[in-house]
Amino acid sequence: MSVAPGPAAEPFCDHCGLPAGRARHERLLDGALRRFCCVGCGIAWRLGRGAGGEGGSESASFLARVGLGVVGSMLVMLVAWVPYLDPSAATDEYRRFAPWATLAAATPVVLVLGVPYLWNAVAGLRRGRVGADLLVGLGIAAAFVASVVSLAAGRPDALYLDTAAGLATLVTVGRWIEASAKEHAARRLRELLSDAERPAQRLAPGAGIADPGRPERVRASALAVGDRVLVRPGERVPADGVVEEGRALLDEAALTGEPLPRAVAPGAAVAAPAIPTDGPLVVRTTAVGGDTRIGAVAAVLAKARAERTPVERLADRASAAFVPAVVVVAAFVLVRALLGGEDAAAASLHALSVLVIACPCALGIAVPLAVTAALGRLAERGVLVRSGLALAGLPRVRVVAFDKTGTLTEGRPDVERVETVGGATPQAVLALAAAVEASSEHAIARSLVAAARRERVEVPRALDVHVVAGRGVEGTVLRADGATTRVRVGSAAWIGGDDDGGRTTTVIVEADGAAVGRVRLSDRLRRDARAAVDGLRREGLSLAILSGDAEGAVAEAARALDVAAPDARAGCLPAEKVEAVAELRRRHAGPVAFVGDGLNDAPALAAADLGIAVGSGTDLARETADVSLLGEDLTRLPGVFRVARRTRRAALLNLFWAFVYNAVGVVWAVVAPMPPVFAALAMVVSSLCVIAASAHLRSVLPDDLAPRGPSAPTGGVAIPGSRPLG
Amino acid sequence: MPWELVAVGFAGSLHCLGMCGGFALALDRPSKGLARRVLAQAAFLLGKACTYVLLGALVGIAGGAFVRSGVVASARAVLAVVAGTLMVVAGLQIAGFLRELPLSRFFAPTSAYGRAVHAVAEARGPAAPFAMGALTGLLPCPLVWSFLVAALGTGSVLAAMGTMAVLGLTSMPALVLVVATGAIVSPLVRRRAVRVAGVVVVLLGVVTFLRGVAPHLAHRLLPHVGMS
Repeated sequence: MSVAPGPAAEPFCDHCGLPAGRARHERLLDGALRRFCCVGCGIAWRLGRGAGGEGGSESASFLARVGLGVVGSMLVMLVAWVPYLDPSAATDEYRRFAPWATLAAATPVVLVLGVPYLWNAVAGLRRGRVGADLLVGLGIAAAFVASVVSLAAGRPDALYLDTAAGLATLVTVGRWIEASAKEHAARRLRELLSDAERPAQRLAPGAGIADPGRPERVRASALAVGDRVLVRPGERVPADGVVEEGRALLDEAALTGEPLPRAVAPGAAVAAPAIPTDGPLVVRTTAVGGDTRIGAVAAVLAKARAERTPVERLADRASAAFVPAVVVVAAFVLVRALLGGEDAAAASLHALSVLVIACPCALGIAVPLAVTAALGRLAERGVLVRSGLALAGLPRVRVVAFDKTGTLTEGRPDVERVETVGGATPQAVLALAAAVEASSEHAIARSLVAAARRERVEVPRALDVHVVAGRGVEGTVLRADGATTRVRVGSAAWIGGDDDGGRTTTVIVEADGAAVGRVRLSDRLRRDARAAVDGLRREGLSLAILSGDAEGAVAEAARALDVAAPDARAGCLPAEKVEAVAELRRRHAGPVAFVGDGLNDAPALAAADLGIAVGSGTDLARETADVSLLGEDLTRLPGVFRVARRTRRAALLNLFWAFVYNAVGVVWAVVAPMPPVFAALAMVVSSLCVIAASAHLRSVLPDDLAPRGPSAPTGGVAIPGSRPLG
Repeated sequence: MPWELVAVGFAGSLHCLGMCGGFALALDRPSKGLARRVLAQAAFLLGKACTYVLLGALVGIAGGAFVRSGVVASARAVLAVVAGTLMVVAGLQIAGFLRELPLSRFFAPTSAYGRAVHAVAEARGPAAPFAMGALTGLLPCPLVWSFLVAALGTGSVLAAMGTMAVLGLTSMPALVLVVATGAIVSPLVRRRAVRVAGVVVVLLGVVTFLRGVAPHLAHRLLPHVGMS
């Protein structure tokens, strides 16, 4: 469509070459600004470039068939209706021509849409399986062959071509809806992944935020590891990488479900498709395309949808028994009608309607739809369920066992208090300890240095520092007055002094051979641990703690979370955690879920009936967990169980209604003859009901996976006895 | 046979080349055998023609119902006036003297239409080219609209379907040529042909309009136009 011609310099449409005019459509495609004279040209241009999508999907092929079916069926109906719509057209000539026009319109529909059902049915029969395709295929073939025979015999009054075409079309509509509903679960993730096709801005060597030069616009999928990309606020990080320049609050909700943005600075790891919200970043990529975390997520989800749950297998068994029964019933109806003296055509139509209404399509989609709805909703919140089987296992869980360190707690020791001996001040003790630990990478060393910084203690310089493996550190501290002090910082066993039975980690600080103080460090409970545990209790689950930590520390955490003594076990080696899981299963007479951080807990995660990994999405691909919580927020756990429970209920209900609907339909069709197209319509309606129920399920699934009830996670949960330093 | 419409269809199909030709080329899979490629293009053109005929039936039903309803005694005259006016507008659009209607959001890649086109473009099997053709037939194109108003003016279902079938058939040769030769006629030639088609449509619109207000004059000018 050309628009008013303009001056000579006027741009031309990039697709059709006609003047693009003033009302042109401009789009940034493949890194260049393209002009099109109209919408159609824009679409056609992209089709020509093959930039349409990620390859043919099942639903796309069904949609194409639906297109053919709808057009063909409408033409068939039109031919029949023209005499009513336009009485002047109802000539004898038209009546002679009409059956052949109908045949011409219906044949492609039957061949393209109907024949595949017959092939599938035959292939199924060869493997000893009887499926819904048999009913559909038989129905379409019977209607078509009967029509062709009567047309050849010169009896154009007994035509069921509209039935054949309508049936094929309606069933295919059902299959298309089914296929697209199945693909729906991963759609959000696919959208995230299709960001891989969005332009990324690759920086030239030496360019930075201050002087970006002219970044090269490339597709994210064309990036290589080691490329430097510029990510402006609001744009998505195109690949996993490390921040090289810039500081920003990073919105990672798309990957982790974490609602709060995280502050990142040079050196921080970032993952696609996070969005810097308040400043530009330069990121050096470390993983691209399918190797990114989001790529691994998509792979897991794709696999999850492929597995069949127990309820689905129930549906399979039901339809396997249902289909032969229906064929028998239909044959019985046919024979009875024929013996009863009915016209052969009427009798076969009657039998046909029985076959058609019984198509257990709704039965087939009842469960997958509910499961995909739930998987999708959970994925949106950063909860990755590895399989439909795992989702089905969640509602049966009786006990949730937690790893302590890194799961319920922060996973790193924090200075709880500093006790002094003699006249030293806590600040002085901390200063000495931090001085010798400053260069050490050990977790305790880091928390001592962090505590000193937090308390604004001036840390002196230390010389001649060396680490005594497994014991501590010693070195010479240069005091401000120029004097030197020989300092040792380490365990009570090494230096001498009391311990407190393992509740906390105690470090003794010694100056010039005399103990000057003790620093007690403990691993604090995470802020959301209490809320998560309370939420799980409200879901009716028992709780347990299995930890490799010392008795005292585990007892402390168990007390804080109200976990009874037998369910809190300390000092478990990884193998002992496996035994402990088995013991919990015995004692609570039910399946056990184990929640761990996915690294050292792998044996327990695998041994539990259900493994739930928290945090670190990096190892996602090789994790043994059935459920992965991306991001740190533990309070999503109770919601996961709630979603799984509702899904199971909805799936069973869907299955029940689909079965009842089909059973009632068959009885009705046997008792009262109906046109087969109505039967096909009834069948599609039942599929639509199931889909509506699943859509409803999606809308009632808790949007926010935070626990019900008043105790929202507010503030930290302090272990009794801890107090601020000082 | 309304020969004027046939002429407009042929001339206007040079306009189709730019747009629909792209769709046809997008469907072409040179890796497949010749027979498959020919069948695919035939299915594409057939799908487009079927959409036109169905659209024609829709306006034919509307026009026919209006004529038979008897609400207005001179229903055919009213139809002719409406159709003539719309045809002039569509003809001016084809010739490039009027701007395209702002319909882009209905056909944007994120719209239902855009998603369907992209899905079908990815689909495999013999239904895909047909479905693509059927979707192409729905694109907002003033040539289609001018034929649709001509179809409306006939006031009869069969005649309306026939009018649209003319469009489907006349646009076939040009598209076949494009796919066969892989070359799109030069934009300059096409721009001229399209402008001629637009002017012819405007004239047809004027005649159709006159048929409503001054039937005898119109009949003397062009006896066949829009005859039911």
